[in-house]
Amino acid sequence: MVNIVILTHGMFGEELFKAAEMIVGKQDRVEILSIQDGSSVHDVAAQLEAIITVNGQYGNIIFTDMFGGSPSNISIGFLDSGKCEVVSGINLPMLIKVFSLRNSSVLSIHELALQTAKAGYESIKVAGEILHKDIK
Amino acid sequence: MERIIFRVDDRFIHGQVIEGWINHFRIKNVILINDNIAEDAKKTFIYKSTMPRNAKLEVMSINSFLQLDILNEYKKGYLLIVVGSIHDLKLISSNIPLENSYINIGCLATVSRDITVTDNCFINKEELNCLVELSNNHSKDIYAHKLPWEKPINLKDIHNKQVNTIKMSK
Repeated sequence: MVNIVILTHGMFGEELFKAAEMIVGKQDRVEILSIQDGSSVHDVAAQLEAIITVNGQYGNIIFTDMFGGSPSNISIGFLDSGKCEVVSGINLPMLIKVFSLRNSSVLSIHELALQTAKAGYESIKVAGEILHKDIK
Repeated sequence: MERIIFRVDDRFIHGQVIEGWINHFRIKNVILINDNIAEDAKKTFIYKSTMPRNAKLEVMSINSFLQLDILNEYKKGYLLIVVGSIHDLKLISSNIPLENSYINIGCLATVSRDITVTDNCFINKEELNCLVELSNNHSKDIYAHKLPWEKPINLKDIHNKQVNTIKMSK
């Protein structure tokens, strides 16, 4: 089962993970890292490297909050075809999706990342638009 | 705001820089000066890929920057120039067109730094002295300035506070 790393600004990742566990239950092989005000990006990169290395045999997917932000910039440095994938823009439906899919040995890390990202795009709805379409 | 913005930020190009500075001032040209990143194609690609649609990033070494004729190469519009440390700012200082430039300090991590300037800007005594020296030599104030809509903090004020604290403790 692939290892999941969540790296975000502030406590977002930790709280998001708690929210996901409320829905899908306790999860193993998940690591949470954060960048705080005053954090050294070198220190965070070293922590991330240690996690990626220790879990190398399982493969890793790193989730970050925003493409272009420091968590994402640090993570992309660890991109490694077939072994480590990086997905930005994490939200709750994506985390739930990856937890439910990662037990499947059929999916490669890349495919798992793609399906998780798809769940993210599809989860964003403007209620007024849905209602408008239905009424039409 | 002067049209050439120099920023010291050890996270280089990140959310605050993109949202706060590049998007806010609609900056089209950004230069990242760092010897390690300039030699690393993967890191260069990462930073280039983070640029908003209408902004272009160039990554260059300190030496390349020192040979650049900034005012001729970038005649119009805002230009953002990012370095990763106060040390690097000092190294490029001879090529800062002072009249057209605003120098600010963004994120600097707490590591080996004991003076808190803002919630994400920390410096040590040597760095503070270096900034004050640069500021005095070039008659140019240097500010800690996280985001354009927040109040800038003149580093000379931080320096004076430090001097007064030392005097009072004697």
